[in-house]
Amino acid sequence: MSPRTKKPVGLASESARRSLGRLERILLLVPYCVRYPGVSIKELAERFGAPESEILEDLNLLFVCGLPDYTPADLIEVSIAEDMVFIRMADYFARPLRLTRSEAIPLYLKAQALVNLMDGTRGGVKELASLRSALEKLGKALLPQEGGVAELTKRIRVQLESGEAQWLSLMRDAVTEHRSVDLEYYTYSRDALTRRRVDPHLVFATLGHWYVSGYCHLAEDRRLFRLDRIKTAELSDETFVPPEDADAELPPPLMVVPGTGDVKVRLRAPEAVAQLLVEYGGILPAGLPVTQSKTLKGGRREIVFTTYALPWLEKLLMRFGSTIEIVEPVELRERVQDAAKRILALYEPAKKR
Amino acid sequence: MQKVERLVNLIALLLNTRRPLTVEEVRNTIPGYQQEDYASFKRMFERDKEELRSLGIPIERRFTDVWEIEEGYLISKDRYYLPELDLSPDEMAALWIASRIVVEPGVNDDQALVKLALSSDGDADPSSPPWLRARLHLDAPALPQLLEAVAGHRRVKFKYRAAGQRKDVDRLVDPYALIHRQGSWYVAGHDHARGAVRHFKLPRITSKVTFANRAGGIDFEVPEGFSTEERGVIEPWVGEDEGVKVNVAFSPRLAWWADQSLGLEAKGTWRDWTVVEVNVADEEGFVSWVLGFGEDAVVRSPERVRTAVVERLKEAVGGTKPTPRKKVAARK
Repeated sequence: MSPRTKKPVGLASESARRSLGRLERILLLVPYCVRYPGVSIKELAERFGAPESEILEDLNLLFVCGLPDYTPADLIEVSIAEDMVFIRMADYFARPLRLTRSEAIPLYLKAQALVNLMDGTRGGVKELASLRSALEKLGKALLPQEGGVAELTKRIRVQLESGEAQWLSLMRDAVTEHRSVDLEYYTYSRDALTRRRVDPHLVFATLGHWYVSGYCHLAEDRRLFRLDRIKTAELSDETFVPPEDADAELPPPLMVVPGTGDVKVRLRAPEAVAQLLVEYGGILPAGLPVTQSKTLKGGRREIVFTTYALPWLEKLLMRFGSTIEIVEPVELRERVQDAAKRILALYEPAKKR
Repeated sequence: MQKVERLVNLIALLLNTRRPLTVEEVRNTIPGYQQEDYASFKRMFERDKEELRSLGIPIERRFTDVWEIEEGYLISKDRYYLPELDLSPDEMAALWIASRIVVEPGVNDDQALVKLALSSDGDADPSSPPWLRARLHLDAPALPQLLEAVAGHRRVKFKYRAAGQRKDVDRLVDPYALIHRQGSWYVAGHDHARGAVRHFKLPRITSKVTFANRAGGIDFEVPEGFSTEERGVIEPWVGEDEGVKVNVAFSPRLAWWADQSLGLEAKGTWRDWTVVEVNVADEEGFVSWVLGFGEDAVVRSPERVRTAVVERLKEAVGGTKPTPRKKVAARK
């Protein structure tokens, strides 16, 4: 066999992409109509996420497709009667095309992720067993040439902190039954434990943590709560009316909202430490909201950001000892020193002994 | 619309033929290929083939007969059709739920799910629990290739920029596992340069990931002792070596958190604080972690770890004094 020299043809043009998208849909539309004879145009439009007019165009196009010699006896037969669609003479398109890599991989990882998310979670998703077996079968579609699909699920892991799922089943009941909850919640950024009533809208996992979003009666606004920072939670008998957009999408909260209490902070640290700070140092999982960053001599970096959460920052900086130089504000420098002194005092008695 | 027609007919033709069809046969059969100019037909045909392949349609080139003189094209039925997966209605429903729960910008699984439903008994109706969502960051460019490598035990090559480094370094890795934690994907595997198991963060991979050996087949076996679970653990006290047992006291204010989040049972008390025992392998990481609790956690024993915490605190008291003019060399 001659080695195939494949030059990838860029599918640059928008019209090419559009017609390929249409082709994909048609190749799926046919088996769908064969499986569900008499399906309505409306249902097809809903299932395929396209306007009815486009579905009609697709079906009209099929009229003129088929096998040689393309006489009426060779063409695919499409009939639409009283809004019922029937397709015949298309046995060779009666089964769907294989999953492409870009279809199979996200689905596989999502299913695997959910298995890991739910593993060992009481009252999580009851379909866990079905999901496991589905994953195994999906593996066959993904990697038809591989025998080790069952093994693959052991090699992919989505890690959440242990113990966080504690409030999951309570939150599920609260969200599905629209019942308010009373929380004792620890705000790490302000180092404070507060009681508050919350109407939970949605539970979600992202960036390694479980969150619940909802309306907070204390803040009188929508807020996000990390499940592992809930000390106690109780279902109340109060019900609430969830907003329309409660489960539309993930809320976009993982960004910095500038506030009035913000303080500008300037730090200097060795390059690697600075990078670590920027990537992991945020109270928000997205990292520090750095506004300025410049390289200094000696492999050091200066970063500037704003925060409202000095108690949090103080603890963060203490963890790094003297590796991080606090340029401004001066109060922060003093805070870190005072806090370090206070903690040192806790270690004193043992030293005297 | 003419083009889609032509492509549907081309697929139907190549899917139904028993023997490979030559370019001329295709040209003479498919309406739309009868241009006067052969060269422009050929260009169109080549582009059509590539585009169909990009959709995953397996157009194969084979000799038309045993004499191996002429070559032609066909679509192998085995490779075109989705195999019967026999997903039960429950399994299908579970996949819909997974798809709805784990939302990724720009990823829509509906088409894949309808395909799966059509090759099984399962229903094509989506279902979704309204209370739960998750996000997984599946958009890491290296992810598909690494998934194949992990599945197929294939050795991979890529360029990698470690944290704090400015240079890309070539890496040769036997990928054992893919791990998602704290919002990032990592590949864990044997790093040939280091001769040890290492983690690589996918966003730090700066090149394409390629298989080291062109020929398919297995390049390595995953060692028996390797555990994906352990690799996934993020608590700072778990490391690669056997750890030391450290007693930490948590204040009444935060003891609930230690109990809930770490799942550690109280081993005793100190004042009115709760003492728990943790296994620490990475002392450096542990010291930093414990300081994150501020005045709500105190290391009780052993003395060596206590001293390390005290040293760090003394540094924080003295080291952050206003010394802006002085260039502090990276002290280690």
